[in-house]
Amino acid sequence: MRPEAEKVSDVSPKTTKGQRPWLRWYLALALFWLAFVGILTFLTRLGS
Amino acid sequence: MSSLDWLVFLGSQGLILAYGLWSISRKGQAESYLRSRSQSGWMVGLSIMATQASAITFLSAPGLAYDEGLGFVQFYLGLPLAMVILSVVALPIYYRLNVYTAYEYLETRFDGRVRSLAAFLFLTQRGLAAGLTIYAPALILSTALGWDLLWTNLLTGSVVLAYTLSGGSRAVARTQLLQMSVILLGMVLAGWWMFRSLPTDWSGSDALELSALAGKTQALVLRLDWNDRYSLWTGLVGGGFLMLSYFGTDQSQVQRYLGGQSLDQSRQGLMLNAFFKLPMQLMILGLGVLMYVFYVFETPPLNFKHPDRVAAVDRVPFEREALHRRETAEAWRAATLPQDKERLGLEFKRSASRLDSIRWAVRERNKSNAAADDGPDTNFIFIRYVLDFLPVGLVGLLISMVFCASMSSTSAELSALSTTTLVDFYARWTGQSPEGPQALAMGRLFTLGWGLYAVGFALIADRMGTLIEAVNVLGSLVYGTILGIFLSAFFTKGLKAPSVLFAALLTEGLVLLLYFGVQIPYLWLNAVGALAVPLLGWIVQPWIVGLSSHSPKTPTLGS
Repeated sequence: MRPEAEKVSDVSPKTTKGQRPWLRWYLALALFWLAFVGILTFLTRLGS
Repeated sequence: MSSLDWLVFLGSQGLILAYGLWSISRKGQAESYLRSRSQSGWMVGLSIMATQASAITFLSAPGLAYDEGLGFVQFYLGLPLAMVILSVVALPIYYRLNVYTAYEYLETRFDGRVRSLAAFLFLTQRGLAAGLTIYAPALILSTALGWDLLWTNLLTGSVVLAYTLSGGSRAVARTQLLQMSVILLGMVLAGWWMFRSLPTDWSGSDALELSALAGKTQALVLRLDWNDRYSLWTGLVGGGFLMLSYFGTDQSQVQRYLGGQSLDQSRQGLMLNAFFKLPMQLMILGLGVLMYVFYVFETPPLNFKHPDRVAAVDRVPFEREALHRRETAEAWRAATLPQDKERLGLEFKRSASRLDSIRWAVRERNKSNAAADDGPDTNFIFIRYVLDFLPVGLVGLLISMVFCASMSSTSAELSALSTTTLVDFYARWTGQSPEGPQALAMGRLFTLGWGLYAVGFALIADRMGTLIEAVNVLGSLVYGTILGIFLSAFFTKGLKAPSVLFAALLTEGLVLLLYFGVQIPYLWLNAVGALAVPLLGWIVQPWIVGLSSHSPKTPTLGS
């Protein structure tokens, strides 16, 4: 661990204020994943 | 290779190397050898992807898709969820503790023994995996140029080693950007060339329909069958745990995203990987499917590794069937009546299946004949195409692409192996700072040592089967246990170090037994290992809790 570890120790899951904007990223990612699985389903059905 | 190919190959490699060396000389700080905290989110994301996408990905995956279709893409379906979990849980903790390696966290949460065990498991498998990433491009050069594989392995291993020794972590990250550009350019150009080599009257949708008839677009398996190697469930559960472990606890990746300027930049890097990895992998596998369609119109070799070593008794019926498949495909394309289309489509399916049967039969026969068996030819399918059909100049670029992929992965791996040995063992045992000049010299020595270890393994890697699977099997044998230790650290407050240590050792034994004894599909091992450590830890804790009075002093989630 680096000697100056304590200096940045205020960055933790609880104290990070910026969690909320990331929720939009996570939601967009979930929609993207569903769309991707949709494409895979389409490709799979093509052969049946 | 022609002289133009050599020019393209040496020119692109020389440029990348020169850029790497220039970027180190500009900011040659001691810390940069271990970790650089200067990268934007985009750089972090590219670095993560370049580290994961090794030469194996580009050599083996198109061949796998040529043989078995798109099903392998399911392996990556758990990746986005794993990225979110890491972004929320692991990343803030690593940042808070400002660690060099992921395993440092385990000492503050449990004790030195648990940290050492996790670091040791990582070193064992990553050292071997680095051997595979050296072996892959050596294989190409030996095939392309007719060199001896042993000497090619030694040569390529030395080049990668010298490159990593020169720059450490910063050089790795900087050059990965250029390497990734060459990789993407190579893939796009290869795909474009393949497509334009199809008969002129064939459209993209014709090619897609034909590959679907041959079962190559089978990308999603929804049934829940324990024996399926790749399905939505093995991908989500097994693959998800594997990705969680690989990205969250494998130092070669942790080192990449801890290089971000800030927590937000590192998060952005993980998100970039989450968005781009799936389409990129589908594109690589799609290249294999497109190659299959290409070979419908061009008789494929029965053995892609040794096209000339096929006996006439096998070759003649194979080529006859390949001709029949081609004629059927052309008739199917030309048919206008639905019943003709259906009948010819069915006949194409049968013919494709007969061709596969001949190929499998020859492969199986070779397998049972120890003298003739030199591994499956899946890894050679793509490179055979590159050498036989790509135009002059593009061959050099593609060989350069494979080298870029290998360099970017191997250098990150060797750098991580050296950092872990230095920080988690050497600096810890000697009490020295990992940033001191002596430790830095030791770091270089460790890089050299791990490089030699990896090259040694590369020399015997020829018998490991399909490379991309081999490297994932190797990972799966220990990743579950490592992840289990980390999950215990993140999510449990009451578990004590001795219980976790005992549970981890027990779990590793169980995983090895399940793979070698019961032979369950390897992706499940990740889930089994990850869940078994905390579970067994809770079970054994009442018996061994008195052995230690150590209590957690660093964060678990929500503490």
